[in-house]
Amino acid sequence: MLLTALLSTVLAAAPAPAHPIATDAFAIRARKAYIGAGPAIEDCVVLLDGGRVREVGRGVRVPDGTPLVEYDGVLTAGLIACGSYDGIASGTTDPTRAYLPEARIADAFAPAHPDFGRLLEAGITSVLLVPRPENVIGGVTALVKTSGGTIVKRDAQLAVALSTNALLFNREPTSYSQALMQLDEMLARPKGTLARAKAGELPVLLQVGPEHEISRAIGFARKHGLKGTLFGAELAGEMAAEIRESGLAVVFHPLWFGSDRRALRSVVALSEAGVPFAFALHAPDRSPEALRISAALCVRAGLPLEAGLQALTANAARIAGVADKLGRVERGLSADLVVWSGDPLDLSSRPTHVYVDGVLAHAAPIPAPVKD
Amino acid sequence: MEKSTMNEALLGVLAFGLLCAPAGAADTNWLIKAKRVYTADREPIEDGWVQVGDGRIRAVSAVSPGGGFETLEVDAVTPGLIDLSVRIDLGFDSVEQSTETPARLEVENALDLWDPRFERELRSGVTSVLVSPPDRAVIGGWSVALKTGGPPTLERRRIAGRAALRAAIGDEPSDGNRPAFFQPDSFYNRRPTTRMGVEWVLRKAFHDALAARSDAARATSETQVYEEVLSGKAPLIVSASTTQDIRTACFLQREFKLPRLILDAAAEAWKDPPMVVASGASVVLPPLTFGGRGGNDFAFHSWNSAALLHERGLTIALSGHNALERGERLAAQPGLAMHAGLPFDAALAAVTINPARMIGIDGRVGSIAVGKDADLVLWDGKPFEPSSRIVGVLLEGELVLDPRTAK
Amino acid sequence: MSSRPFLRLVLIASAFLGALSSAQPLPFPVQDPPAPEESGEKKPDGPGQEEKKEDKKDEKKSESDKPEAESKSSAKKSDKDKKDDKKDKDALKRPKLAPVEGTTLLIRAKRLLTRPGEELANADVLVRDGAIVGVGKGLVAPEGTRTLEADVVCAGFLDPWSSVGIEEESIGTFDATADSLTIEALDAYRDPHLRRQALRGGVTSARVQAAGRARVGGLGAVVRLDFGVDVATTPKPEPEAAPKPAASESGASQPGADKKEKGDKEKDKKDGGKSDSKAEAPAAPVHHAPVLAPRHGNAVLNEAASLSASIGIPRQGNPDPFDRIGEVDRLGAALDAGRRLNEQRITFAEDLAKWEKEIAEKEKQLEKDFKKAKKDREKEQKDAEEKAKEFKEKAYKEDKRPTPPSASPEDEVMARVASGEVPLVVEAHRAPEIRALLDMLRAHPRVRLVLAGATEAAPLASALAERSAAVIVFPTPLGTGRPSGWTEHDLGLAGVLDAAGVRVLIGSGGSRAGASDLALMAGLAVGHGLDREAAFAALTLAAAETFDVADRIGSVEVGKQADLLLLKGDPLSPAARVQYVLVGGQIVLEPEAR
Repeated sequence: MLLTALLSTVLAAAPAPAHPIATDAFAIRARKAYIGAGPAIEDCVVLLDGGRVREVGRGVRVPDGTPLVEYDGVLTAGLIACGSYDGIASGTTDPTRAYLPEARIADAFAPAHPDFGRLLEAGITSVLLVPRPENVIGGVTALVKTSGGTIVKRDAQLAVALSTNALLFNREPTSYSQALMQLDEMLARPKGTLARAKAGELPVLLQVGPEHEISRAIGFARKHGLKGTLFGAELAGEMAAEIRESGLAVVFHPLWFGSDRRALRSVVALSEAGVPFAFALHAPDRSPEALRISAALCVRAGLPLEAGLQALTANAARIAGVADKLGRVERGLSADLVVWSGDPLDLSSRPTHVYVDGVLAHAAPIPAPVKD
Repeated sequence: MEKSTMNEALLGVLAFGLLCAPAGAADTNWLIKAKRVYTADREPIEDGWVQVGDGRIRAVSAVSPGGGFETLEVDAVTPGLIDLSVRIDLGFDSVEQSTETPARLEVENALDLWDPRFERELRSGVTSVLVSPPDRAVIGGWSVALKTGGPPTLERRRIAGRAALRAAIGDEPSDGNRPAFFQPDSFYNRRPTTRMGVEWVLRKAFHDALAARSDAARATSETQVYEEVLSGKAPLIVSASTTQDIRTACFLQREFKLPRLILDAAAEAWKDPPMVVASGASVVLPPLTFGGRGGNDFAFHSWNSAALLHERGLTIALSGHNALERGERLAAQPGLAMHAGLPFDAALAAVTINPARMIGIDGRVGSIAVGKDADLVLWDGKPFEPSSRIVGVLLEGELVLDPRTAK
Repeated sequence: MSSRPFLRLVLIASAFLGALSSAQPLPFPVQDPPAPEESGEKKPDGPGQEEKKEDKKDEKKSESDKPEAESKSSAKKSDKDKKDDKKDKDALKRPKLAPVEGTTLLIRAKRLLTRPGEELANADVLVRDGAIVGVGKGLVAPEGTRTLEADVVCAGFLDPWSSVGIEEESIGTFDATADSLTIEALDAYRDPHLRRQALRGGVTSARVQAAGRARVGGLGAVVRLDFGVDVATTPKPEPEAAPKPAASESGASQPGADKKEKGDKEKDKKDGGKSDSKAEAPAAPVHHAPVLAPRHGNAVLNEAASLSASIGIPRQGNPDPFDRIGEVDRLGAALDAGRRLNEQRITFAEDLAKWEKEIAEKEKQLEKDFKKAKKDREKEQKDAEEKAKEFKEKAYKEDKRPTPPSASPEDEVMARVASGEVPLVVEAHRAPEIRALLDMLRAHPRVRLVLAGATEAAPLASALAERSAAVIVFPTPLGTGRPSGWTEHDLGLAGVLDAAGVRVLIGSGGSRAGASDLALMAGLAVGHGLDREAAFAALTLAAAETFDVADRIGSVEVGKQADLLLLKGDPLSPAARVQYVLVGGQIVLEPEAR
């Protein structure tokens, strides 16, 4: 019901008259598809039903009566932005208190926010909403869809910012040492989300910056046996061995044209060390294209193409704790798909069709070039 | 017979292997031949040898210990320099300002070991330092003794955690505190706002600790910290530069019978040496700068204060405050002090064994003695002379500055 | 008007007009290098040396002499000599390129992209003395020539909107005048790693502009990104027997490497320790003992490539909207002053010629009546003495010699812009301001307009095409949260403009580091509608043509400089790997060891 209502709104906007209704089963055939790790599949067929993927593969037979949509493009799973300050109805920082362990960013999620449209246009189907690193414990992050207003995971991670941004001069704590001591005390007798983090049920998102903050965060996680991810770790690749040993994953700040090559090489080094990583967005400060641009820049610096694509899809899903629902084109997972006009990490290609939960949420087919 | 020849052969192969081992990060076996070996705890050795192995000093003698190690030949070798007042930290992120006595905090949790200033100190001959929280709180917390080089982890670099408790007397700790009428919600609306207030806070802290000795109900985790100082387990290092601040520190010592007191940046100690002698405190002098001012609060640091204080029998250490100018760094300070009359042996001790003993790390560093860490500085010429240069630095046996390429 | 002055006017005007036409390709000497005395003369002294700031004082003295010397010579010279004058002027703007000795290379390419839209399969390029001397299939090179193989070979990219290599204070300053020179703000030691990054990204030259955001920023320059070495005065390299391990990152000094220290880092410190690869090819020239020439040697391709201006850019705080409108008017006034100066000069030249003719006639006459005139004069003198009157010499027209129009150095530059000799690059983003600019420029049909940024230019595409304006787009997507004077860079702008017939160029927005990823930005623009061939042209030939260096770079053709890229993969694709980069026939980047 909700889905049809949303669908009608979406279809009204998108000029795709022949497209089947999503709630019924239908099939997509794409010239090429990247469905997960591994090489691309030519002439890939995806069977969809009820917003999920039923079957996917080259020789998949389309049952009689099932509508088939053909695309001359490259199909991938929807991109997942592993960090964004956007799409939120209010501010996410509270300068009066440093510890907000029960604050849930999902409560401020504004599905009708106009910026979600831009995210969709860039092929991003889900977003991990995170608080800015201005509170030592900023709250609980959430994974949401960019279309349809679904909250995929309401309690994704506990955001802990062991960074200089969280140490304000006019609010306790003003120093790293006090922050650590207070965190130790809170985790000695943990309640609520802290208890779940300590028990390993809720991963932590450690928001850090330079090497010493990474080192401190790793020590903190190890001391309390916490699992999770290092967020914003600059030049993390130069500490790849320690990070791998710690078992933490890494989310990088988005890279940009003219970024220091040292930052690009650090991503490549981390990938070579086998540490799972993804990219954040920093929307609305940065354009949604920054996600692909970051991956493309790293590919140019030596990152294998598949690793770049994994960072935007499967690894991001794993970091957000939703690997069982998103990140790959696989049986049983959500039908979050993007059809690209060319290779997904080639910046000259664009998303032509974006599906969220099997619903065609964005369509911008590229017109044939006209030149007189 | 065969066995011994085989053993000899094996040893020969091992020695050969060691000889062939490329001089690089892994190599911590050296033989240092110096025209003079300044051990800092006894007479210098003419034409001496120092054998370094596995990061420690294996032998110090006037005869060659032998062994097929790589030999470094220099004019002089001294222990690595020790700076008790190096001031390398993360600024306001390294000190808690929400309370005036965050005594339980340890500054080692708030440091950046990748800070390039450590590398600069190391290459200028300073191998061990005491890092303290900045003086924005009256009792800022525990200082940590660190090496300035090696893998950037606390486990590898720390010589001693909780090496000293840091306190500050003067203007800085009350700076920023204000009466309530400016910003009603700010936690800076508190005492102390004056020097008297700072003294009060210090006295209250130790007073409460004394009270806790007799009344267990008044013991808190904070008073436990002060108890360690009162019992002499840990030294108290107090930043006090002007005469009045030094006097306050001496009064504090007298009132609470503090067994181990170190006066840091005591620029004006030369004005009243008997008072300082009476307190039994040791003194860390700030670096002599070209402006004549030293330490905090525009204290006037006399050019001959080291010599003067030494004559009065005080234990002094010199410090560098992580100076940028080569002429103001720790390695240049003994030379300046000697120019004003400080004897060479005292100058050498002031940057090596004295600071080590002050904070109790002399079991590992501070002099060239068998079993201590191989932290050495190699000189061409007599150490601390303006014409001499540091041509080599070893940190735990690793060659940080190579004398063979420095020429 | 009598016929003679009119004829002169026509001749002089045609000389000026000759300078306006797009730069005629100077035939690059594909022959033995010129004799030493010729190559030593890099910059002829004398008329037209307006740029040198240090000579300003001398200039002011000789300024008055300049135009008349010019016109004197032009009055007497023929058309052919006028062409030489124009060539001299051209050479003053663009320094002569001394040939680079000892570099002969043969490049075999699977795909040779010669010009935008033209491609040869399995073709070769022969490079000698820094220039391309052969392009085609099955070229033959002298024995022992080093041969490089590549999948794709194309011309190096030109970033037309950059500030790489400019010293710190000159980048963000708003304190500049029309006669400020960017080449004087170049610092050879600045940002060598950024320039190396840019080279690795395929950008071999850039139009750099100091004070790019000032109202009027001065004269920008097209420079090659490996500047710092004066090849002409660099001693010839000796063949190396063993590779020198001097190019290691630790910078441990070695005997031969001492020479390599200053300013050479961007040359041989290629990501550390590449000297091993040199061992296989000892014939490859290596730069030693860099010498910084006053004009950075062969690195400057065009010293006065553009005059930069900006309209509506927030400088200090929020600009007053009336201030913005005023900026267009001010620019117009400056251009008017420039055009007036041109006209005044033409008039002056004509007047001077006339006056000289009259004087010549009078002198001739005087010659005839000399004796009579002498007697008259003596008589007058005697009369005056007798009558005790003052004897006044007759005043001849000598004192009424026409004076040349005085011009400030800024007016000189604006004159060159108004005549179209130097293109005008204006950074403007809002549609009303661009429209106002176009309206204002109607009065200056000769001005070559290049818009930089032009975020809201899409609705004005046809007006820009009519004007033959070029547009440098900066295709990077901005976030909505950024505070700026305009909403975002429209990624589709390049496509829309190109479809309307506007010449589109792609630049990195005047940043220092953006050039490294210029090809990716071009990819983004292609993804949003720009024709792929147009994108490649934008990076190469179109940019070179716009800034008058197309005779030297921009395509792989005989006679041009060997500024080439040897890549694996299509130049605009992110998976492309730049293997070798050649600048002036020298290998400045080698494949990265992985």
